[in-house]
Formats: sequence, structure tokens, C-alpha cells
Amino acid sequence: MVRAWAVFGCLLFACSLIILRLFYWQVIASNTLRLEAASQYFLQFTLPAARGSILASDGSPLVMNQPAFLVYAEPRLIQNIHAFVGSVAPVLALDPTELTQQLSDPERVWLPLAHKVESGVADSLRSLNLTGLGFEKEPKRYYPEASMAAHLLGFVGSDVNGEDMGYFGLEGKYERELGGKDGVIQLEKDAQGNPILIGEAKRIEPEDGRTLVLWLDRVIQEIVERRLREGMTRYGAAEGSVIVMDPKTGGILAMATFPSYDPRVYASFDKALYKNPAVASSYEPGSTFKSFVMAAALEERSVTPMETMDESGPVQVGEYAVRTWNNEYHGPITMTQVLEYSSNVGMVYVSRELGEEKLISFIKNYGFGKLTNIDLEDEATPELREEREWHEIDYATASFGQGIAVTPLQMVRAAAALANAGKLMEPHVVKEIRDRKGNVVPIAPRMVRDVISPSSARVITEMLVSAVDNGEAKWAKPKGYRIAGKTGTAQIPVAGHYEENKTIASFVGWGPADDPKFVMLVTLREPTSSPWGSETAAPLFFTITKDIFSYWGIPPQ
Amino acid sequence: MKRSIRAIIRLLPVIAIFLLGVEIIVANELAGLGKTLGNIDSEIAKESAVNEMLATRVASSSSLLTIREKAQALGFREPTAKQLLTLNPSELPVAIDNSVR
Repeated sequence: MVRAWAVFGCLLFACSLIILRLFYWQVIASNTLRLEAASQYFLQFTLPAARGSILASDGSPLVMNQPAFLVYAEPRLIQNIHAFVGSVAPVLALDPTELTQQLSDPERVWLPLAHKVESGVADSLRSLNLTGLGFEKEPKRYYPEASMAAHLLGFVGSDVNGEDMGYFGLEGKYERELGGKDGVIQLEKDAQGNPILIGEAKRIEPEDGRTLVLWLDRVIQEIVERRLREGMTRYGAAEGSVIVMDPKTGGILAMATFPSYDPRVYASFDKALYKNPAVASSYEPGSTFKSFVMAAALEERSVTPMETMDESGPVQVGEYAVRTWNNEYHGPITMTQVLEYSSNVGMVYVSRELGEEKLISFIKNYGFGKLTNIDLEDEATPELREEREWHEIDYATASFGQGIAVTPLQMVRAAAALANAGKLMEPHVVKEIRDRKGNVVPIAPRMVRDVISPSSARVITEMLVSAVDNGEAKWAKPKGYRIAGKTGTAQIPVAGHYEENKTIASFVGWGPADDPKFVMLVTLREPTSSPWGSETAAPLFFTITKDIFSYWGIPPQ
Repeated sequence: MKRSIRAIIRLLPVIAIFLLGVEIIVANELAGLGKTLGNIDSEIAKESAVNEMLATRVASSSSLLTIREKAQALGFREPTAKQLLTLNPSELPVAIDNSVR
């Protein structure tokens, strides 16, 4: 009886062990086993989404994709490492010693050799028919216009996972739209790795990135970049920028800043160059700001164009004496002549007539001190001081554009309001977004607010036409055209004082004055040939204007 | 009547076996088509890559950079003074050849 029970006990024990083991494999380890089995009979790979293109207003591509490959090695399949290295290293410019070392590592199963290798190079490697050399599609950005509009476009780098990601400019701002969404395909496969059609299949189609169509006119962009480069050389400027905007829509027709970088090889440039100074850097605008203060005074009926003031000498503001830029005084002058002579003394009179509260109010209405909401990643704005921090001298200097910081984009947008019957528009680079199926999402121009009335806008336009025709820069103006504009020469503040010989020369204007097709701001930092805007930025503005009129076929009026 | 029913009943297994055979053959054909599908996918990928390459070549050929280089090679120059010849207000201006012959 005891023996029978002992045998029964042993059988029971053995059965329990089997049951426990079965429980382990079928319950605890089931997920792991299911996944391992799936990897044997399921074929799964990612369907990468193609990144969207960026097109100019005429549909020409500024950025698109070109075929490129990740080249990799599978060391365990390589028969002769030295021959392999001898063939591959020179083509990919790799260090043969280091490559040999890496391929000889017995733990290595897979080794990436080079990323984003262009088709030509990949084809030459393929023709070597090397076992253990593989290629994976890894598209690369292509720039048909080379480094044109680099700051506007931004560039594509890698994120922490090595995936493509846009930085700065449009590539950064529209990363989600351009990047799209990868798809996946999962198929049952046979023993040889071929898909089984009647087997289980799951496919999620990739959503390719969308295409951005810009307001940017590539011909105007080319004109602007070429003339700006020439101008910086001629006038010896350290930095220069030009923005051209359509005043009626807020569309950016061209935007260029130098020094710049090449997005194709962005890593070889100083990171400080990636940010777009036209939207991210600030400067004191100088006399170009007089246009806005005068327009505000006209709107409030504080002054009229033919009203006179006595410019007999410097004007006292508290303990300070404000002088004209050239220390010349003309006696009784009209408001129009205040702009023609670019009289700081005259502008102090205007700002006093306008009043401190109204001056600050209009400065804010023009959009200064706030982001413009342009669709670029790097926009920044200097803050306006709190009203309680303004003293009498600050109101006086603000009237002629010193002691107040603005960005070039804020300046050109405010000028566009004067050219657009007083309507302040939201600036935009992208006009519409298209997907692969042909659906188009337009980005409608958006009016922010009315800053001044259409009648005040007409009056200030005429005054600024007169400033161009009779001012310091009249020699550079193209004959037969009515162009409204204002020169500016601002000293650069450094550590609490103004640098003696360093200026920012600028010119802001629009044309044709009667039906403006564009507004443009030209700024040159520290021109060495002459510090004055009338002798540097203004002639550059008019040179670009002549080219634009010619391109658009606008004859003299 | 009884004879015809018996005949049908005798034929049913034959039909069943025949259909089973057809199913096996068709399934086998479909299973084998996976390789063809794989080849077609490879061809599609190749042609897509060629299309992408051609698109970049078209973009490069029509870029302003290329047009400027070719124009200079053909002898086009910037005019020293702007000259506009407009045939009618809605047409674009035409280029004027100012080269000295």
C-alpha cells in the first residue's frame, strides 16, 4: 500500500511539474513567444513619409527631396574585410584603419557607414557588388536655388533619435505639416521571406508631408540678394538686410540678410548665423520712424502738412538740447519740410503737439513691442518700456527714432500700413498649403487693425514722396517714378552710450506711391564708406526698386 | 427519380474532391504570387527614385542660378541703362540686345 502511494505521489509530482511548466510557457511567456513567432512569419517595415516641398509663388521649388541612401555594412556577411574597406572607404571618404577596426569587431552585426549618400555615389557603390554592403532609402533635402533665402527656409537636421527635423525658418515653423506621418506594412511571409498574398496583411499608408507655397517671388529674392551683396561691398557694411512686402496682403515677397549660411551644409557655419536678424534682431530705427509719428499727428489733427514751426536752433528738452542731424536750421518750415530736411527739432515739435499718451498709443497700434505673428520660427521682439519709465527726453527722442528698439519686420509692416490706406496686415510667408491629393488650404491675408484713416495715409504718402523728391537722397531716385520713402541714420547704442562713428543706415519706402505694389526696408549696419542712410541705404533701395519696376514692367508715370 | 438522386449522391464526393483540388491549386498560385508582388514593389521603388532624380534635374535646370549662367554664356548682359519696350500694357517687357556687333 505504501509503495502504491509513493508511486502515486511521484506521478502526481511529475504531473505538477509538467502543468507548471505548461503554465509558464502558455501564460507567462506567451506574449514573448507570440512576438518571436510573429517576427519569423511576419514581414514588417516602415513606409517612410516623404517630406513636403517648399515652392516659390510661381511654383518653382526652393526646397525639395532628392534620392539619397543610408549606406551600411553587415560585417558577418563580409568575406574579405580588407578588400571591402579598400573599395568602400575611398568612395565614402572614411578612415580605412577605423573602418577595419569596426568591421573586425565580432560583436558587430550592423554598422552604418554614411548617411544621406546621393544617388550617384550610391550607384557607384552598388556597381561594386559587395556582399555585406546594404542601402536604405534616406531622402535628403535639395535646394535648386542653392543658398537663396536661407534664413527664410531654415534647414533640416536630426532630432535625438536621428530622424529628420526642421530647424529655424519655415522648416522649423511648419515641421508638422512638412514632416508628414510614416506608414507601416505588415505581411505574412514564407520561408524565403516573400510575402504571402492570401495571408494576414495590415497596411497603414504613409501621409506624405504637405507642400508650402510661398508669397516669395524668387526673381525679386534673387534681385534683392544680389544687390544687397553688391551694396554691402560698395558701402563696406558689416551686416545688411532687405525685406520686401506686399502692403495689401502682408505677403513677404523677399527677405534677405547677410551674412547668411548655406542650408545644404549648415553644420559648417557658426550657429549664430542660423537666426534670422530680419525678424529676431532689434535696432534703433532713427529718422525712418519720423514717418509714423508724423502720420499719427496727422491722424489726430495735431498738425497739418502745411503748418509751420520755427526751426531756428536746437530745442531744449529738460536738461538736453536736441539738434538737427547736420546742425543746419532753416527758420519757419512746414511739416512736409520737417520730413524733407529730416529735422529732429521739427519732430520734437510734432511729438509735443501729438501728446505723450497718444504717441505711446500709436507706437503700440503700429505693432511695435509685440510679435507680428509671422509664420517663421525665430521671431522675437524687444519690449516697449512701461509708460511710467518714460521721461520727457524719451518722448522727444522716440519722435525721431532713437531710444526705441524695433525689428526690421516690425518697421516694414508699419510702413506697409501707411501704404495700405492705414490698414495693418499680419505678415505671412506661406500663401497656401497643398497635400499630395491636390487639396489646397489657402492662408487668407489677415488685417490686424486700422492704424490711421485712408485720408491720413494719402497725406503722409504725399509728404514722403516730397521727402524723396526734395530730400538728401533725391539724387539716387529713379526718374519718372513717384516713390514714397524716408531715410534713416541711427547711432548704435553700446553699453549705455552711442558709438560715435557707427551707425545703422536705413531706408523705408513704397512704390508706385499711387498704387503701391511693394513696401521695402533696407538696413545696413556700420557702413564704412559713409555713415548716412541717404548715401548708402537709399541708393541701394532705389537700385533694387528700379530692378523691381523693370521686372514687373511698371513704366515711369 | 430515386436513380437520379442516387447518381447525384455518388457524384458529390467527386465534385468535392475536384473543388478541393482547385482550391489547393489556386491558393498555391496566390501564395507564390508574393514573389511577383515583391518584384513589382521593387520596380515601383526604382521608378519612384528615378522620378525623384528627374524632378531634381528639372528643378536645377530651371533654377535662376542656371538661367543666369546660361544667359551669360549666351552673351546676355545687364543693360547700362534700363530700357523698357512694352508692346501693350498687359504684356511683359521684352529684352533688348544692346551688344555691340
